[in-house]
Amino acid sequence: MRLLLLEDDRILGEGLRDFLRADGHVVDWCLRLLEAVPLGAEPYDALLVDWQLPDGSGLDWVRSLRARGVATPVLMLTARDLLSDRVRGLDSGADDYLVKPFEPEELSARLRVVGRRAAGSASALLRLGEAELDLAARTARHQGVRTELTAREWRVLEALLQRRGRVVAKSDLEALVLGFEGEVSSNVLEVHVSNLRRKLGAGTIETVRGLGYRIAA
Amino acid sequence: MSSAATAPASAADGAASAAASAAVAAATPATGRGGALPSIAGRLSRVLLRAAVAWGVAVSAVVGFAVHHEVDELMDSALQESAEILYGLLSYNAAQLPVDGGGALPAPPHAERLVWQLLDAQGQVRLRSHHAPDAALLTGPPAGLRHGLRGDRVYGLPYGAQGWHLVVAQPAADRRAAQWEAMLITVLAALGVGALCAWWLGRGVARELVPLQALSGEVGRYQPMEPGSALPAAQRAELAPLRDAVVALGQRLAQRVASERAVAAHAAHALRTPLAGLAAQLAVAQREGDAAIQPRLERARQAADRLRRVVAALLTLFRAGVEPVRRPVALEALVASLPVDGLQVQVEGRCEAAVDADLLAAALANLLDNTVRHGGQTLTCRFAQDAAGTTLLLHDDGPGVSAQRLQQLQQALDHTGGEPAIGMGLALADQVARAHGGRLQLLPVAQGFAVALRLGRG
Repeated sequence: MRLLLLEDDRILGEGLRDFLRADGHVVDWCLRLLEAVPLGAEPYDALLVDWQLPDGSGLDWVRSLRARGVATPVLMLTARDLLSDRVRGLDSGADDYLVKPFEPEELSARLRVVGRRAAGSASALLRLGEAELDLAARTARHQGVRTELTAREWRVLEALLQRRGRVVAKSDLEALVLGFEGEVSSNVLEVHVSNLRRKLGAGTIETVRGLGYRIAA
Repeated sequence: MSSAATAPASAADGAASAAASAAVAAATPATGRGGALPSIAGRLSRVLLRAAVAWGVAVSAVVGFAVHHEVDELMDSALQESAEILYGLLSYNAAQLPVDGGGALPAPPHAERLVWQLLDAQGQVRLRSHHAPDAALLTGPPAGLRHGLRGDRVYGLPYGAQGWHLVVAQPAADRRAAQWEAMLITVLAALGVGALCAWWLGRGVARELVPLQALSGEVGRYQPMEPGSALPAAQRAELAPLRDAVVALGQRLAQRVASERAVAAHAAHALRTPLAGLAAQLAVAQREGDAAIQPRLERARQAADRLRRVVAALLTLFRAGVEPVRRPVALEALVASLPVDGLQVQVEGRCEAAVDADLLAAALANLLDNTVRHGGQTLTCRFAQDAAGTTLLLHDDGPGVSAQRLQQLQQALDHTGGEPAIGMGLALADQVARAHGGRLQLLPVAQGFAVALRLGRG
């Protein structure tokens, strides 16, 4: 998943960024609201937002995103643990609310739930044509045979699954899979899609000519 | 936390149950204390009643004396007037009167209120009224008003030139009856007026207490922390200082609570964020670290986890003034969901109660943590429920404390609501119990350590 992490605490932000990257996610980390605001238009799979930031309220930013029609899932990461705060956070447009301190494993689990919900699946196990995917364990089988996917191939797959039934523009998919990591050659995405079709079945990912890619609903 | 295969079967459990029953009663906050306090309305009513009775008695005595005196004078006057009229009638044709036999003048049957006699100079009855006695009504000089031989009131006046006298008497019984009748009516009327006044004054007192009762109700509903909540102006001058004092107290408390909440929110942020950072960094280190360092990292994570629970409990304790948010909770599930390494928890029975799950979880987590830190390995949790609330009985198999120390701890809980010396676990549990209208009671048991966490119904 491509994640935007908005957290002003350097130790926590760095720890979460590295932990989530190790989980296979693409993480863009901002320490200030000012840095995050321009990224609101970027395609992300989820936003991880701290409530209290030095230059503003993360909750107000989430509210403004929702007002502009941005539907990207939002997880609030905050030290405010009162019931009234949790209710206020969820009512303001957050999809989930995680009270600090939390274990990063719990954050990962909640992100998987966000991914499953977006993919329209209640469990971590997903059938895709001739392929079976376990999103929690990150294992895949094709026609019953175990097949190994690279981290980037998983990212491509998850990005498309989260937008299942919709066409994802190539530029958006590149951003979702690679973030701002650079070193993008012109055909790196095509290579990953081609590998996925080979490993999971030719009909897994459709190419919509001139628009992008899609996994059928 | 997993359920223990076997419960710590010990005789101490029985003692804990017995002590717990007493603890349930002791931990239940006293209610209805108002019944033992004197009532202003009752006291005023009693004072007014006593005043009315005293007034009635005094007025009755005075009026009775006055009536007795006046009636006496009136009847004496009537007696004199009657004697003078009779004198005139008897003198009109005195020569024709049958005065030789001492008999009565003929008259139809009738009741005589006044009797009369004509006495000669020797005091012999020469003529009398129908019901007058044959013997003279009095001896000695018959002139003027006197009391006769029978106690009658007698008035005599000279009659003719031979030293005769006309004596007219009113029987004592008739006079007394008339006087008593007049006094009785007057006294009854005075007492009636007194009772009416007492009733009217009582109504007045009750009416004047209504503003006080209204103020009491308003104070009960007054929520200084809520912006829209305000006490209305006092309806009586005497209540204005009380109302103003309550408002000032409420404002001071609200200010203090707001300040404490602000500090708590700041403290929460200042403490929770570094803890989250610590957890995240440790998790990354575990993933990236060599196998040799993994045991140390795991222990560091356990310590961080414990620190997290302690901070959460401290923040909860700091905010113990916050009203609990009650919702129906399956207590057996709540207890079973609290993981404490190294402790087996045996939950006996089921119980649902409306409690603040977060606060109760913090209290229980600290009590369970206490057990582990003091060497307990197994803890039994039972429930008792009655009309007033729910009690959680926790009994561990640790070394426990001496009876003297138990008493000291309980006194610290009772008198200070938790001083630092008793430890955070007990203090927090007591604060949570108090927030639920209950108390934490330490139970004397033969083995281990046992507490009763009493939660009011709310």
